[in-house]
Amino acid sequence: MKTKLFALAFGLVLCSYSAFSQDYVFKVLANKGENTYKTAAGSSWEALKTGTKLESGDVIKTSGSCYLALLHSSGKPIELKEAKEYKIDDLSTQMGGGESIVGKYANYVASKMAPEERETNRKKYASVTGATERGFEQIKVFMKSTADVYNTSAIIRWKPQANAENYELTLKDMFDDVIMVTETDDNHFKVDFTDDRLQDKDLVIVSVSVKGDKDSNSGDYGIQKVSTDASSKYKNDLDALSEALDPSSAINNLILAEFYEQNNLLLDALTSYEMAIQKSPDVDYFKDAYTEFLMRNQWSDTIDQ
Amino acid sequence: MLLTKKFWKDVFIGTAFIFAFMGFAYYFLAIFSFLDPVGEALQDMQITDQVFSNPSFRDRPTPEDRVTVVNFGRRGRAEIAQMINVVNKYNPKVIGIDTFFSSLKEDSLSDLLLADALSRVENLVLGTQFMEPGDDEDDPYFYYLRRSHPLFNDHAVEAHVVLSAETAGTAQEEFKVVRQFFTKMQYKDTINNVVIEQQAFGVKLAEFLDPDAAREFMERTNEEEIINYRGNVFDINNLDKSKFFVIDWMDVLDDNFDPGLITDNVVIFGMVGEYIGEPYYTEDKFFTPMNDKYAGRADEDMFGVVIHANIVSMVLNRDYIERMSDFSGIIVAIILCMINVVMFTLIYRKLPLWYDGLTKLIQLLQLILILFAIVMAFDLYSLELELTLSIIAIALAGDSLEVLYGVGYNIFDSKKRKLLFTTRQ
Repeated sequence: MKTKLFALAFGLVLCSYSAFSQDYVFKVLANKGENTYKTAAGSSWEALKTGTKLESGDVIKTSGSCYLALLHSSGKPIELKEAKEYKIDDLSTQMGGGESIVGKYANYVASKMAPEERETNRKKYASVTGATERGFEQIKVFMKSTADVYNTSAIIRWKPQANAENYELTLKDMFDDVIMVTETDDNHFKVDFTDDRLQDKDLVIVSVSVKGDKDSNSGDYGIQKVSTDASSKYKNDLDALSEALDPSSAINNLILAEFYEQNNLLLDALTSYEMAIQKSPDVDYFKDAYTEFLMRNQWSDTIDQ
Repeated sequence: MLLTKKFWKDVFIGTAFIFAFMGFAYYFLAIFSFLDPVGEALQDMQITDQVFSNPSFRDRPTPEDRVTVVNFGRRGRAEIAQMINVVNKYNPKVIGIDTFFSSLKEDSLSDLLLADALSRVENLVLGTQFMEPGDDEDDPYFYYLRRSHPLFNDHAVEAHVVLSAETAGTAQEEFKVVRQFFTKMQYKDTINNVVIEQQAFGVKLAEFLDPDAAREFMERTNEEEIINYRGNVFDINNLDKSKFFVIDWMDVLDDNFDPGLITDNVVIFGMVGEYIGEPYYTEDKFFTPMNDKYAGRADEDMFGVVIHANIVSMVLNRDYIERMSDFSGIIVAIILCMINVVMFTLIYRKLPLWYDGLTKLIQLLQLILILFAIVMAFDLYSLELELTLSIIAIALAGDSLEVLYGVGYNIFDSKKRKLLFTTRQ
């Protein structure tokens, strides 16, 4: 467990330096002299050439009267004139200041998972009385009474009810007309705006009840699609993140979740946490991060899967 | 009450007077040269150049990995052919040649080698130059087309390498700073009555890598576009601006480069000096807004081939610079001028003793604010504000109004006119 945590934390920190849209840490800009490099995988010393990509873990060796100019993936150059061995990771650290957008959000994730930050979060949650703005509905959905959503789908999750076998979800439009009624035996549901019945709706009102027990209704929660104007303000950053991130990776969903949370797109953030856990169900770090998120927003101190 | 009908009439007349004065000055006094504050050395300076040349503006651009420059130095056609063959074996998406092989050489073997090498390139773009614009300002055509000999361009697509209005049909030493380029140009063959239209070299090259990006760019339908410079090739004296990878001719001939620079990339052959870093070669080298010397530039800073690489990068990244229209510039100038006339008229009437000092101070503050707005709009929103007319109108507003109210109005008042010719003891 601790090893996994360490590996993930390390991965996050490393991310902040190396996860640019380019698939390298440095690239050779100019090369004079007998300069060589060795890859992290332990290859033999090979000659450096203009354009050679250097990655984390690689080592370069420069010879006497050499000149080597490297271009960092952030766009920052560095000159090496002294004959010696250099570790790419050390050089990358020297670059400093060139934090990428991925690095920025990865650092937020790492800082929020620091023990003291988690303790503060826990205390804050404990101080909440439980009487939220929604009053006395029996089913507590993990979202605000209205939430903006950027993506075409959003997962909603609610606190499971004792002895409930099935839940009934009702989706209505802004005129209170029922669009669809569906059932699930899970305590979460994916609202898919690409569904024919939903794709022309800018606002969908969701309520959850235990099947056969209408009194257990959660009350109405509004999910509103982000307008085109508003979405353009997220587009540049999200494009930069998508370029640098592999969407199939769980840790990258964590970074996306952080981005959404920072931009108050809490339902998108929650969905990203769900995706991260789906992709790596055995890694406790993701569940912990999700729980911290739920507590930060005063919804729950457990995922209740 | 000051804000009467007469007051607004004066404001209208005052605004009209300032614009009429500007028009008069433009045509008869060449007054606009006063914008050139310290003479010829600053003639081609633009405040927005700061955004490119001063590292405290703009986020640091990342390296451009999709465009590679190959320096062919002063090599002959046989060696250029050899370089093309070496590069071509690594499957570039497209090769562009930023030079002209206008005629055949006596050494026909080198011509044949070059023609053979070019014919093996799947996607080849050869540069052309449109020269001799029509005498009439509205004539869209050029009447001389400099292009490569048919032996070489048989397999090629042609695109023009003209960089800005100054470069069309003028000698290189007359060029100023290259800030923009023609998106397309038209050549008229008057003998055969044929019109040939060609896109810009950089746009055509980008089209092979990302047709959608090139189409989107051309759909903007601007005749000229401002180049959003990303950076230069390797320059040992200015490493921080190095953003494009360049391979020197000797490394190409020795096959001493990483093939990743070539495969599926845009590769542009051109002149980057006798060798990379040679300080004295200035042919096909230009001043750009990236020049470290913001004013009074002494040394050219970027080779033409790298300017084309910047254009390719701009198109691929859809990273354009928008320009405020001339019409909007006029409207803003009228509004700002009118606001100034209102303020200055009030000061003239209520605080005549303070008029000179207050108006100068207000003008100065506004000019500083406008210059700040121009730089920030360019930096943050890639928008070039066209506020020259506004600056002139504000600069002239105080004194012009004084002339209007002190001379223009008094001259039509017989009592006040008499005072002009009365000597007081």
